[in-house]
This record gives sequence, structure tokens and C-alpha cells, in this order.
Amino acid sequence: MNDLKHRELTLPILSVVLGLLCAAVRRWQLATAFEGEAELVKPFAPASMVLLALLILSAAALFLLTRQVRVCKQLRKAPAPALSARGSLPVMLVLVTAAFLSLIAAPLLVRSGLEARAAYEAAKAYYDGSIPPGSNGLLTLISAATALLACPGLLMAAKAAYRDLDRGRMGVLLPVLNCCVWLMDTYRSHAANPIQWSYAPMLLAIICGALFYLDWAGFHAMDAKPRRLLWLAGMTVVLSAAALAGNWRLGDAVLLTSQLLSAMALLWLLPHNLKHPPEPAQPSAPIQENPEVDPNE
Amino acid sequence: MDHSPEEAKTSRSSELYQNARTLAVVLSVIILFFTFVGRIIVVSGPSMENTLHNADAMLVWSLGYKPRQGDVVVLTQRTFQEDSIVKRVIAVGGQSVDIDYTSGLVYVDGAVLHEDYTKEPMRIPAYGEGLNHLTVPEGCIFVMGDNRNHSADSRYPDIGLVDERCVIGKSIMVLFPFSHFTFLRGG
Repeated sequence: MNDLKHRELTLPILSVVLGLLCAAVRRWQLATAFEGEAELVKPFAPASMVLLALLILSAAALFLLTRQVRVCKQLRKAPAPALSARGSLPVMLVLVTAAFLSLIAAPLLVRSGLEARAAYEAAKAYYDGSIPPGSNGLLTLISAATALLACPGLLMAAKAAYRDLDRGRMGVLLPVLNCCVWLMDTYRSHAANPIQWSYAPMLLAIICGALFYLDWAGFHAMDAKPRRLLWLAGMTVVLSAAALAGNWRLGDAVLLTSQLLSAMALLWLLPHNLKHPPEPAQPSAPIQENPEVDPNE
Repeated sequence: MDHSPEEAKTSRSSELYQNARTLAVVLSVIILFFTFVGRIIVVSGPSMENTLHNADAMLVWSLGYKPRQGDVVVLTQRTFQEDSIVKRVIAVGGQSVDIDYTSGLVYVDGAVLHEDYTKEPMRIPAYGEGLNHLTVPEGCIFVMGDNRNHSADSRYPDIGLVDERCVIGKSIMVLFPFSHFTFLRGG
């Protein structure tokens, strides 16, 4: 409880609230803003307008709030300690869960990729060997492979944060790689869809997730942008929640949850650490025999 | 100049980060551009010959586009197939279309269309005359392929009139192969 009192909770709470609101409006949009067999979008449907306004409002609110976050002077030159989660079990647990979700997403994406591959081969036979339209599933399979890599990447980053280690901090670049391939795969599977509203929230969530992980890595590569990282983490929560309320493959949903949890961990950790930077890890003291005993006695 | 192991490590991390940043940012910009502004689509099939050929990659403009008569457009008619098709807009909402298979001519609002872009004289399709005398409702378009005798288009009942919201965008130019590079004429 003591820890809770000193936490900067405004940002994580606001992000979750905005995320839930966006998810609810997205459900409303899916129920009312599409029509007909082809699910064409109704022009200027109230739900679509409200969702658009809410997303813009979320971006603006989080932007203004992150501008208010104070960064301690000592972190301006050496910002890496701001991401230290030394001894923080909740952060460690959330990041490990995010890592394992990424691992779970891999076989689910493999299954989707193989299904797409089978459909493509069938179409190829139908089209007499010429290149048929549609996805051949290859990007989905590569996406699964990178999701598999993202798991150790996140685990390394979590361990580095928990134990204040230098090694493994750049592991967050592996989820960036995963987001890049996943983004291409998601776009490819919707490239022929004229209804942008049906997939744009998903694309925006993946882009935001990629940039969020990227800024996280930037902290350890002399390019720390604490306020931007907080904004991206907040927007990752909001957009991932909105995308989760829409239509997805199971693998997509698991990856979205993974990046949402990582962003939540950062929102919990960073505002507090920016204000009250953790003390640098003490070098281990030489072992003394009976340190409690006064030799004069 | 020698660097300490710590400096070398930071420099490696920084380099790795810079490469990842370039990849992620460039990719995000491209995907956003393709989603909201314009995209590159590859032609599949012979239905738009001789204007477009199988495997031609073309640039399609989506942002703020409203179909006009004569434009080459990319659309997805889900009642027909999940993937997109490329056709030419013959008539837009409010116009009447009459197809005379005897003379091989198409009339829009009673006036004959001068179609120098078609591949060969039009014959009655295998599925019959299909939709050939109609007035296009507002918000819809009537499309046909330039290769009239090998094109499933608005004449074909499974495709029929196309809602304007099914249109992805207007084909502006053929980008690849370079031997086919050309700007496409619009309406």
C-alpha cells in the first residue's frame, strides 16, 4: 500500500479508462456503423464519428499529461536508470506474462499462416498455375517466427530491468522486429479491403506498439525521450484495447494483449522513476567474517 | 582511436537501435500511406488488356477519390470475390447504360461511347447478355473491363452495379514492369 501511495497513477489509470472507452465505442461502431452483406461503412455514422473524436481526444489528453511529467535532473544525462524495476515483482510478472503471450501467439499465427497457404495453393490450382490474388501466408509464418523471437527479447529486457543489468536491455528490439513483420502481414491481409474502418485501428495499434518498444530501446542507446515513450505507451494501451474490441485472428489478439501489458508495465514504472530515480546498484561489498562482532571485544 | 569496452557496447547498441528505428519508422510511414492515401496493386488476369496486363504493378490513389466516368478503378465486390478487381467506370449514378451487342457499342445517356481502349469488338458473353439496359442508381457505378470478351464486370450478375464505397481508388499509372510504364487516362 505504501508503494501505491507514492506511485504516479494518473497516466496508467487514464490510459486504461480511455482504452476501455475506445473498446466500448468500437463495439458500438461494429454493431451500428456497417451495413449490408459486404459490411460497407455507413457515411458519418455516429459511432464512427465518436470513435474518431475519442481517439483524437485520447492522443491530445495523453500528450498534455505527459508534458506535465517531471524528469529528475540527474536522469537528463544518464536516463537508463529510469527503466530500472529493481525488485519490482509486479512489473517483472507483467513483462514475463507479455513475453509468454508472444510465445503463445507463435503457434496460433503458424496455424493461420498454414491455412492461408492451403487456400492460396488451392487458388493457384484453380488459376491454372498463374499467381492467384490474395495472401500466400508467408508473411504470417514469418510473423510467427518473429513472435517466437520476441519472447526471449522481452524476457531479457524484463530480467535486465529487474536486476538492473546492462546485458539484455536491447532485447526490446526483438518485439520491434515482430511488430514490423506483423504490421506487413496485417496490411497484406487487408490490402484489398476498401473499408478502412474495419482494419485501421489494428494497424494503428501495431504501429504504436512498434514505436513504443523502439523508444524503450532508445533509453539504452543514448536517445531517451521519456515523455514521448510515456505517450506512446498510453496510446499503445488505448489503440490495443480498441483493436481488441474489433475483429482479429486469435494470434493477433494475443500479440495485442502482449503489447498492451508491456505498455502498462512501463506506465506503472516510468513516471515514478522519472520523479524519484532509483539509486544505482551498489557494487557487492567484500565478504567480512562476523561483521557484527567488534574485534576489540 | 581505441574505445573502452563500455563505449564500444554503447556504440553497438546505438547502431542497432538506429537501424531498427529506420526500419520501423519507414515501414510505418509506408503502411499509413498505403492505407489512407494510395497503394500499389498488382493486376491479376487479362480483363483490362490492352490498357493493363497481368502482373502489371500500378499506383492507385485513394485519398478523397470519387469515381468519375472513364476512370480505371480498383474495387472489391465481396459478392463476387474477396480480392480486388480492376475495371473502367462506364457510368456513374444517375446515368443510363445501354449495351448493343449487335453493333458492339455502349451507349451512356443515349450517346455512343468512343472506346479506343477496348481490345477487340464486343461479343455476347458466355453467361448471356446480363445487365445491359439500366439506369445506375445514385452512389453506384457501372464498370467494364477493356478486354470485353474476357472480363467479369457489371454485366455479370454476380458483380452487377458496384457501390462507390467498394472502390479502393483510381489507377493513376503503371509502375512496373518498366516497359509498361505509363500514366492512365481518366474520365
